[in-house]
Amino acid sequence: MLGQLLPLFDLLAILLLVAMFSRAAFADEGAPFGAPISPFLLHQPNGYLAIDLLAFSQWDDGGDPLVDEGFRYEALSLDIRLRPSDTVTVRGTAVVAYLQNDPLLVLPSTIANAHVTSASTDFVTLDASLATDIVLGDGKWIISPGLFYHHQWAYLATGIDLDVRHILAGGDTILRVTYNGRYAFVRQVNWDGSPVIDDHRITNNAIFGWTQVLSPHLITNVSLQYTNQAGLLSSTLQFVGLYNSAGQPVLLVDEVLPRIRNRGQVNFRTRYTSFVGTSYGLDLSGYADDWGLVNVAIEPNIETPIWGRARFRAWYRLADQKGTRYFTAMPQTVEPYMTQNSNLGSFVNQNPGVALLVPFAERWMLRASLLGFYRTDGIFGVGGSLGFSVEW
Amino acid sequence: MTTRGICGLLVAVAVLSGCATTRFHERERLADRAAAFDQDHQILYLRDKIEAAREGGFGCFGGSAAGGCGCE
Repeated sequence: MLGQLLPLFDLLAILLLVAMFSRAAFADEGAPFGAPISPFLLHQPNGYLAIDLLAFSQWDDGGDPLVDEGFRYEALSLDIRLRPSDTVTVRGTAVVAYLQNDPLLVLPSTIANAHVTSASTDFVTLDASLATDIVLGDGKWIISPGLFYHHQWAYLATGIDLDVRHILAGGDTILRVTYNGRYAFVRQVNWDGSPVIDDHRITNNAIFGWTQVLSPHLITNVSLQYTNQAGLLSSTLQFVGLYNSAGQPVLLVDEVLPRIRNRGQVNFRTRYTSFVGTSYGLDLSGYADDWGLVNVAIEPNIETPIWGRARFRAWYRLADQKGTRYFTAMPQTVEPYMTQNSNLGSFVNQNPGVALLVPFAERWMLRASLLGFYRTDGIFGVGGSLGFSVEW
Repeated sequence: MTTRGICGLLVAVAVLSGCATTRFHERERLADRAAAFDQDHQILYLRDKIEAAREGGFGCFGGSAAGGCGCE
């Protein structure tokens, strides 16, 4: 399967080079007086509606031999924003998806308490959220209460959100303090069909951000982030395989993780824009938590006009992760905390992606993207989107 | 971070915040979405599904240990 992906990566690299070198033909040192306003100007419209089709396929060519992580995902996304006044914006999103898992995986006969595994059967998921942005204090405070709802087979999470943003300084130096809070009610069915579990998950997230305009061409951002989660952090759909001394799986037991997790994160982002519409970016991030997980990532990206008013964007993200100390590949005994969730393991993750934005008519935008990931533990996938937006 | 490092950071913030390096009419390039740090919401949603949810973060904001649900 990797062999099938390599031509895709080659194609992305060629598209990136074409976009970079074609920029000179469309160099635009600013719109002349009286020219129409660019559809790419950052602004807040009074209304915005976007409808997109999303698709994603994941394959499992490694990882945990007792789990097949392959699936297909198709979704319809709806995003609407209304701004009835300068100080109030209402935002609503809904994503309905159909998820098809790979066929059931037949387990070795040495396992005493299960014969087959699958993440779950085919099912429909619904992600929905509704929030209101309220601007206070001459624009220096934005308070956003909201509700969210996520439902899928054997899993329900619903609750309230609260975002508070405060701008400490403006101009070329923008200092911003942000708080995000989420209180989630969680209902899960256990992987072996045992009784439903009702629990909660509370997330508190604080960010200090410093954005600096260094010149008319260069802008940077540094942010420090602290996140605390408490409540049900393990998944009842996850299990752990126990092995005997001969390396044979003999029993499946529950994943158990601590009910508290603290994480610190540092981000550095910069954009150099040589012409209107062309920018070269570099994003760096690193985080570590008290579960022993460390993740660092780098992402160069570019956005440029390619023909007419259309825009092309490409990025390549590379992340290196050291897994949590609770990740255990072939345990022989039950430990207080243990997981075989491959997302918490150690690997290098590559994420190439491209996006195309084509404005048409007066206020319409066509949007398409193609992106993928390849993890060195053998999990990889390709996805994309196609949709449009309109604003008024 | 050492005390010297913290002092250096505070001095840098103070100095930079006192320097207006751009005028209003010079902001045209930076006011374009190409210079924005975040992309369209729909593309970010898909990136969360494909990238963030495959690593050991919180999947996406509010998710469980990793790749969890309850996002967006």
